[in-house]
Amino acid sequence: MKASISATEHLKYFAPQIEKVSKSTKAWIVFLLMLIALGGVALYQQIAYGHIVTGMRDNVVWGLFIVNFIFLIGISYAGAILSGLLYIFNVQWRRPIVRISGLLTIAAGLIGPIFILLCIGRFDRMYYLFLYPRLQSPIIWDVMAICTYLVGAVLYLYLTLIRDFSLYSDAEFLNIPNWKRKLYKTLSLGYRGTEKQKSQLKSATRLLAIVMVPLVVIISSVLSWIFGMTLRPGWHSSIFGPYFVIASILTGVGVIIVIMWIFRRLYKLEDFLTDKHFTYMGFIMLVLAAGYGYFTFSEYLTGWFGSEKWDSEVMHKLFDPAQYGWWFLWSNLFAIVLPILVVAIPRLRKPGPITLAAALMVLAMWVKRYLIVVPTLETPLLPLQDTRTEYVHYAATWQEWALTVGGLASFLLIFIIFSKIVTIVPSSDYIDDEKVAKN
Amino acid sequence: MICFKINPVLASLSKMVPAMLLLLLWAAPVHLQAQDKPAANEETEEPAEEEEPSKIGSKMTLTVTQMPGDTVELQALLRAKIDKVWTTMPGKKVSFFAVGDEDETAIGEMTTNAKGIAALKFNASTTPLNAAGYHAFAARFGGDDELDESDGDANILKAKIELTPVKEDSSLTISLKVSAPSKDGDTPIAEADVVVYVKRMVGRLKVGEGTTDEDGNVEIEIPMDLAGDENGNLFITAYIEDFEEYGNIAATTVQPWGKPVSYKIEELPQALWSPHPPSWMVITFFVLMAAVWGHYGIVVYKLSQIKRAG
Repeated sequence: MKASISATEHLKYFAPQIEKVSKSTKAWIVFLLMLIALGGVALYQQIAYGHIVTGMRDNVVWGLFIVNFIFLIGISYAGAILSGLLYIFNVQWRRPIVRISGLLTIAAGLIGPIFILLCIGRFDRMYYLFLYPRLQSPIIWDVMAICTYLVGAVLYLYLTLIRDFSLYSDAEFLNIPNWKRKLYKTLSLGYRGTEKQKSQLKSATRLLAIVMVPLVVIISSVLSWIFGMTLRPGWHSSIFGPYFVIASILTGVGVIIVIMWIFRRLYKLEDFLTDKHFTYMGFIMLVLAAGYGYFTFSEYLTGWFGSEKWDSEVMHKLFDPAQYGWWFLWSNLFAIVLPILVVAIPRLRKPGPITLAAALMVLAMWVKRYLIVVPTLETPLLPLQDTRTEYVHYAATWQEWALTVGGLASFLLIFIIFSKIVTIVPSSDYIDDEKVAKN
Repeated sequence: MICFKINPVLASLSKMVPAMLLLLLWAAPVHLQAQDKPAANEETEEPAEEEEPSKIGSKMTLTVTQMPGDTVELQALLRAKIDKVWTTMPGKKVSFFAVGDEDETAIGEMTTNAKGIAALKFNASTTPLNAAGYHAFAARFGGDDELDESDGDANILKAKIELTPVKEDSSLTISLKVSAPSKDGDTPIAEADVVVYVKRMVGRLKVGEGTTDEDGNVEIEIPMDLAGDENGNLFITAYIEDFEEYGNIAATTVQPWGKPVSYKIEELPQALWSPHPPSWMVITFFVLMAAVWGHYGIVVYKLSQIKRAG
């Protein structure tokens, strides 16, 4: 719509989104809460009976929980780096995407680390990591990095919301309860759009956007180093840092495209989330998929060519159709080839096909995380004798799947709650347009 | 007609059944209680003497190992059957004796270890043989508050292993001669199974085995790639277990045939468990954290400025 739309008009358009909760949304929330409750039952069992209820054993000590953690925290990193880059380069079509990226950053960033708590045997002792840290441990690097990152992500999202909060609190036509209006007023910090406030806010946002980009690259690499610093086949690789960074951003871009499509359908946002946005995001996805494909090829070619004993063992598992071969092939086709093809062919370059390709790519990237974590752990460096099959081979139990579904439901619930507090497309961005139009 | 007459009787009986049951329920415990108590008119008997709690029976097994230089090791294993399972008994005193034809001589007293074994090593050169030419030994446990006494004995003929290490360019061999010494000279022991062990940090590692020929000789090859102590020394033991009337026979030698391995715990600069991280890591970590959190501080300061201007 309307390049000349005013901020007020924009807010009026989006008012229903934050004013009321529709019946279908309520039903959706109830459904999500039921899934979370199912996860709660699984968690109770895990606490009551211990990790024996999971498929994790002596050799395969990481399973779905770590896969979910890497997947979600990667998505979060992608949201942060994308919104930061779009802001720094002042990309004009960023407006509807920046807010989604920001919300994605927080929702995924909050849920991802919970899976770490689920994975460790005694999560009640988690605080020991802070009381007795060993700086030479990559686990500590990751704990510190995630904490630092989450603070930055919350700060950055808050900075991008201050002008909106000010707008919401002043908009008398908004039919919202008093507590909500007071909340908006408090959170707006008395922002009135004075020159000094604008200048402070702009410089703070720009500063944090610049910080967030390298920060995300570093902490995403730190996450990869948890694997890369070990001498395990399939993990001990110098390109794991950039490989994880690009995989995270690719997955995050895919999730943003899917969310854009859902919100576009849900709130009839065709005028704001236009075909152009999908095309541009598709181009970003194409470039990232190509880069990810390059890293993947480089990683596995090096391992295959070297024929080092244990690397070959893992490689055999990944290439053998009777083991993980089909999953490996499928994950690479859908994560690399499909996004490139769909975006490269002009006829397919439309929101529907791009979203479908993005969704399949996201799914494939989850599978890829599984293929990074599990086959390596199923390849012990010492020969095992008289060991039960389930100690060497991993199979997720219903409790792990229930907690995975519960985590996904929590992620979606956070998104829904956020979408009831702030507009999906920032209304404040249109204030400047309004003034320009008046002048 | 008969039915008419019987029915009232049955009816009255059926009414009585519950009352009878109640009576039975009351009477039975009272009756049983009465059986337990002494009769009122009986004289109260003297309280019976408290019976001593019965002790648990114990069992002792004595094994004898002969070593070079007339050294003999006696090992007494003390066990007791608790809940139908033979359980080793630690902390019990066991006395050892050399048994002669007419009398016995105390050799010493040892306490059983955690595995229920009391071991005593001594020089048997002066211990007399009995009339049949055997060394006879006995071990006794005198019993205590829990366990009954028990004893074990063993009679052995004297035997020895002579061990000669042979080092060649491409092999390490232990040459063994097993014989029974007597007044007339050494008699070779044939068909004896010999196992060679190397002492490890925990327990021992079997590295070879063989059987003596008619001259009592056998050669056993030793692997060349074994880890030794910090000087490369290997503690090699040839062992014959419970062979005929000779009991156990053993001989040990120390040879510098292993690869020197130092077991000193040294601080590894790159180990996760080393007490301090490397300086560069500490500096990098704090510089990065300070840079990021410093920027956060600036942002928070700017937020406070926005609030102040509001």
